[in-house]
Amino acid sequence: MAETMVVLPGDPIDSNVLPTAQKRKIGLGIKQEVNTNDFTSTIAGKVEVDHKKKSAVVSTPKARYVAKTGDSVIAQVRGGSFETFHLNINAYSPPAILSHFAFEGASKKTRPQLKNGDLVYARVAFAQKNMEIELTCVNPSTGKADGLGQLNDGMVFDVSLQLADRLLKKQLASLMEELGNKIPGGFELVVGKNGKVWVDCADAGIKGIIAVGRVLQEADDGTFQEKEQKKFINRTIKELGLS
Amino acid sequence: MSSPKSKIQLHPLISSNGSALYTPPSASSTLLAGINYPLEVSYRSNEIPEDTYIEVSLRPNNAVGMVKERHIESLVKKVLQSVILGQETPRRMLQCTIQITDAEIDESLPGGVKGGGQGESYLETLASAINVAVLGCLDAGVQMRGIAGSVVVSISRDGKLKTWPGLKQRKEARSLHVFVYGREGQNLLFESEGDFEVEEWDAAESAARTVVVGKVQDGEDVVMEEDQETLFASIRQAVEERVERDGRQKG
Repeated sequence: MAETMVVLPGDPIDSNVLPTAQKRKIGLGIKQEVNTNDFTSTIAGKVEVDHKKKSAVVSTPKARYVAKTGDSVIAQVRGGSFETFHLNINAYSPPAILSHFAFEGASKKTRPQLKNGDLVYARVAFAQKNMEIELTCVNPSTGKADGLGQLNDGMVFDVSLQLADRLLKKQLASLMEELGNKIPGGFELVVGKNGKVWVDCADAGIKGIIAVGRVLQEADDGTFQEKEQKKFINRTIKELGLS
Repeated sequence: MSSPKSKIQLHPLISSNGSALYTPPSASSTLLAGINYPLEVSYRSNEIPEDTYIEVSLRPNNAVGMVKERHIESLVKKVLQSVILGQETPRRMLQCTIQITDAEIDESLPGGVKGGGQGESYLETLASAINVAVLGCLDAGVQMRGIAGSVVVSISRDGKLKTWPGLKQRKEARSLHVFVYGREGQNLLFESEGDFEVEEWDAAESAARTVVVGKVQDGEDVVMEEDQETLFASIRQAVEERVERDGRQKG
């Protein structure tokens, strides 16, 4: 879209801006006045019109994670029952369930051994309002783990959903590469869409993990230019005595 | 009337749905609001079949909330009820937690007592609390009919009006008033305290309207000028800044 239109609740939205097709979808945050062709917004944010999809919504940045089918999340085991583990995705969503059989190669005889507090990288298999979230650690079509499963050692950092998204889209690849070169032995990173990042450094140990955590938190503040990035990484590495 | 602007910061907290920091032009206090929405109603009996249950809690900066805070909470709740489209999320709850993070120090008292005690007028806190609650709701993406804004006006002993009076001016004032306006300048809430004449009240009302909504012409039409530093203009600017910042983060 050429120009960005920012609206507040109650602002009129010009109906010329909106798609005109019969099957248009006028979505969240835009309300049609009764018996007229006038539209008003009900939430604050940017009006996003997609003429291809014939849709218009007012978008607001997400702050709270709501589980969607297909998302990869980092969850913690909080308990279990006969055939399932109960996992915590975050403090405000209901506990998710993970079947003992939803692991690669799991059968009645070879069950995964997970204790309370263990971390799991899992995919959301089923998520609907007012129902329990189901997770899986296996690709249903191939039966392979595809990188999902238990996360051993390491540490989890809380980041904003926006940062988690950026990491997943590899928008911070240069920053992470830079950091990986500086930390002896590099580091491992697992990003959950629920705003959790798991970090492990096999060689540098806890100091390396903390360095990565600090850089992630700094990147979360948003404004982080290329030059500052390098400076910040160098400073962090020095402070922790890693180089 | 050239007064300093309100300071607004959206989304200072990362894990609540929406949050806002608000400092009124008098700079006499800073309030932080955290909004969580929609949530399950904690007590089943509070559930409203066709509306959203609103819960407001206000914490003073240096004490526990008492009668004064409960009264402000009930008034903030009333204002929120009138601006929020509650029917969009029936049987759910909107939780609004407001923390006063900073209060002006009364230099005239020995030792410099912080403002906002139980003995003081609740009106200043009320006006800021309403503003910060509305800003928090905007940030949280709560569906609303429109925005709302409020202002405190004091009338001194010699009949002078002052919008957003400081602590000293509030103490010396003959009467204090709070006005809350909706998007089109409709009246949402009036609260007054002290001795005043009807004419004075009228003058205070029009001064308040100028500060919140803007200049009123021909009775009804509200003229929105670009350079006019109304509260609504500040709110709009804050939202625009937030959108811009997020755009950069995504970029």
